[in-house]
Amino acid sequence: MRKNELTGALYPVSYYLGLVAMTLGALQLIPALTSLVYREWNILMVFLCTASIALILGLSMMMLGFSRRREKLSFGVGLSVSAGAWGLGMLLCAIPYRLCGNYLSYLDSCFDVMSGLTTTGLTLVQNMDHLSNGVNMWRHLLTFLGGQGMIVLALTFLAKDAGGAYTMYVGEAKDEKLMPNAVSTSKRIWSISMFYLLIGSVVMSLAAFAAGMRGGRAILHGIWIYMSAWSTGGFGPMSQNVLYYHSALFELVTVVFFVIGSFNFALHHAVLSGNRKELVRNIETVTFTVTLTLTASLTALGLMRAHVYPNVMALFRKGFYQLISGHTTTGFMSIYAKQFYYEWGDIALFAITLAMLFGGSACSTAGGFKGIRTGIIFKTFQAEIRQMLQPDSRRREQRIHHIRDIILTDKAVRSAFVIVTAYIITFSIGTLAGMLAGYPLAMAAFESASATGNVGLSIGITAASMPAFLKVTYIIIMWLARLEFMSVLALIAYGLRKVKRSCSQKYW
Amino acid sequence: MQSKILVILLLVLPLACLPARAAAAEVGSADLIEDAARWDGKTVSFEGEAIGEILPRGDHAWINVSDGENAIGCWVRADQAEKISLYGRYGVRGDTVRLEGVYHRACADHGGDLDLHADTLRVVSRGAEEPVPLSRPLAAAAGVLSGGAILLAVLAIRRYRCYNCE
Repeated sequence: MRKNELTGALYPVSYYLGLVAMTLGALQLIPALTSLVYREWNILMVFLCTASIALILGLSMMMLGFSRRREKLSFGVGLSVSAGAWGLGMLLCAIPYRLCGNYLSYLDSCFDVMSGLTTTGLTLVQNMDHLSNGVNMWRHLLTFLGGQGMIVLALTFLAKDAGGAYTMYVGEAKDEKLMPNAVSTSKRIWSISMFYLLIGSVVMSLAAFAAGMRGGRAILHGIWIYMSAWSTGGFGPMSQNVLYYHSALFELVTVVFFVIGSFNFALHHAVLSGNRKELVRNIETVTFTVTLTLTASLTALGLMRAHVYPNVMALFRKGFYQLISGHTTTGFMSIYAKQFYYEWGDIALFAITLAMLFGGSACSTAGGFKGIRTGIIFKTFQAEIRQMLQPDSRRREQRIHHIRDIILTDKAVRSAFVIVTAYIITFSIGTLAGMLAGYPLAMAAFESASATGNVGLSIGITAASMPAFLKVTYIIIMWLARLEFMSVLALIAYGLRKVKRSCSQKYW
Repeated sequence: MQSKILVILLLVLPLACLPARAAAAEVGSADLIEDAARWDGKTVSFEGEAIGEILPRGDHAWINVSDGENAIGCWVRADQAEKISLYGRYGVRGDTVRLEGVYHRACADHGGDLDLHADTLRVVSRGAEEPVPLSRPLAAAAGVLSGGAILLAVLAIRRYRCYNCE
């Protein structure tokens, strides 16, 4: 029975993975078009090749499972499909990177794709200042896609009766139901994103014009930086990242967009539907305000003690920008990576590391623990302390406000603790890997927090020259953290079960 | 009297032989980033490729200059920046320029930017357009694969229609 369940699920799994591959193939036509407009013929050919490969693979897999696409997937299989889709997506999307000549190996290409899709923003690209417009479009498109969710995009092409839609949606670390079902929720998420894309690209392009850029280049940079800001990705088209523009206005506009991007889609939905009070009542915005104030104060204290910046304005512009970029898990930088290590001092580094781990909101484009979990844990501690101080008092119900008032159940508290513990373990493993590669603790912890929180701020470890095992470790960490562990663990369990079964068949 | 003139000449002549200014130290971007405190406020000489574009700010402008390791923001007079004819980007090698000026690890005038306020800018060598030639094998592969993908898409649509008819 179990065997039938596993092999029987392969057809709908094939259909859904094919759908994702086909979506990624179709998406590559956008950078192909960009290359065509800018007459980057070689890059155009690269994208035609790789889009075709993804389309052929995707269509073949869809045709294989087409007749059984409406079958319901078990929860574990649905989660595995989500994780598998991200793995397959990484392998497919890395091919154009490898062929374009700006990456030293396929592993480096895979690293950048995973970094983009998980909206991390760490990069191993070579000669970034001479990168073609087509490849730059692909980099930023990947991060924009990853922010909303690869599965979320694929689901928008489905009819409402798709069997495994909801479990796959949950598998991508999104559990908010904005609409009655997963397909219409996915469509709503994409409509919110496209609404902001339109406004954001115009505003960011105007900021690029104000910074002195001209013509199509200002528009392209505006679109790319917007995509990166909204998806809390952190990629930029130039090696200096946001510092390239030397503009306070430009930096300010990015802050607005990446803070909005780090908010929960359910919050966007509520605010866009007229419930503006939610913005100040929601547990995630309240938690974000508290943790931001705390870490910003620590950063300011650290920078003042290190005497790095000559005046308050410089301290604010550099200190606060890197901090809020880290806290929202964006990863835009207006300083050089190694300045963190050589200039900032331990207190500021500690504050940013902490902020990167806290992260943004659940069901958003951001990573990290997420505001709702930090809020729940804080509320639980508060209740426990109250109980300790007044042991005879009646235990009161704990409530949080997230779109509506919710009573905190033991299950919700346990879930928050489990996921945050998983993040801390992952962060520790990443730190250990960094130290094994020969980096000091502060550097290893900072870079590990950046990968674990899907942030993208770098202290200088991430480079093509870093050991392959560290690249693989960071890839796995980014993948695990973006999908919030469960679906990747389900995929591993699914794989192990298959291996165990085939082994037992061999022997018996 | 003659001996007095001789003494004055002996004192002044060596001073006249000195260069008008002490030569600026040649630095790379890694020195400026990793050893910032050492170079802060000093006159340095930095050479690299002008990349991206000029970002004008009134009678001054920002240019970004890359020495291959990192790009450094340089604050120059607009008339100096006009000497640069090509900025590096895809298919273009930008002019190589040498700048001399005061280095700031965290510039008070520019919001804490690590930058170089250039007094002089000299174009060391002109850049050039470097078009990337079309790879014929890649073009052939693109043709074959695109044809295959279109064919499969037609087949898939037909199958989908048949399934719906049933």
